[in-house]
Amino acid sequence: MKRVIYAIAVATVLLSTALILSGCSAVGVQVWQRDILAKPEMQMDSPALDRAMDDHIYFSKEGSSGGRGFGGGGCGCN
Amino acid sequence: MFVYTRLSNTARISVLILPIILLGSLNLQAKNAPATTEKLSGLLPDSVSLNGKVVYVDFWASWCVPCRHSFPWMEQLYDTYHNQGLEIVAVSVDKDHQAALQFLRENRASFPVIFDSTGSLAKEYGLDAMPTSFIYNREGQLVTQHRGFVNEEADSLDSTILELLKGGKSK
Repeated sequence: MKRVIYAIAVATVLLSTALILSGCSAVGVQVWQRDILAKPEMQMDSPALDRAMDDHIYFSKEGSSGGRGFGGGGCGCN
Repeated sequence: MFVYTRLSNTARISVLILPIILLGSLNLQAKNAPATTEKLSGLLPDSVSLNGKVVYVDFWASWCVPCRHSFPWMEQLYDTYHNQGLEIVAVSVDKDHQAALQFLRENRASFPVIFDSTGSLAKEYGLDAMPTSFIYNREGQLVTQHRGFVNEEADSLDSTILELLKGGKSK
């Protein structure tokens, strides 16, 4: 009896582990479900004012400019 | 001695990993597009027959920018080759039916359109990009599939379709 219970416990743990690990394969939005998420206003950098303020703070801290929304890659060469 | 303790370490790891691989492979199997147009035929009105035709199935949505570029090309393709045996089936995956209808008002589509608002057909075809198209030959067998749409690739799709219309069985 003890052996059967142990076998069931092991099987349960194994199955649970398999289910938990494979569960991550289905997380997220499928390509055909993007819908509203695909709209420009849903992009992280969509609000121009927010972006400008973030850039201003970032560039002030870094003592540099460029790298986003500018020509060049922030190398200071243009 | 218990059953489990008799197993070697390798066997234990195998027992642990095998179900994961099996579940993973089940998931992958679901991503294969249907090999024939049989089910698709059932979703179309009686006036549209796919028998003996080269079929171009295109999954699109109103919010998908490349889809907007693909419609004029599909319309031209349909105009040119429909008489030679090409059928185009456009499948809308829009949840918002009105948005899909608005898209169709803005982008002419003479070919049949199926509305898959639940995404069941999209899931069955295992889409992993928008738009995705599938090309079936005259025997109703899947020949190739194509992810995304850029105008530069349209020529290659054109030639695949043209070859199939001429009777070639594969790309």
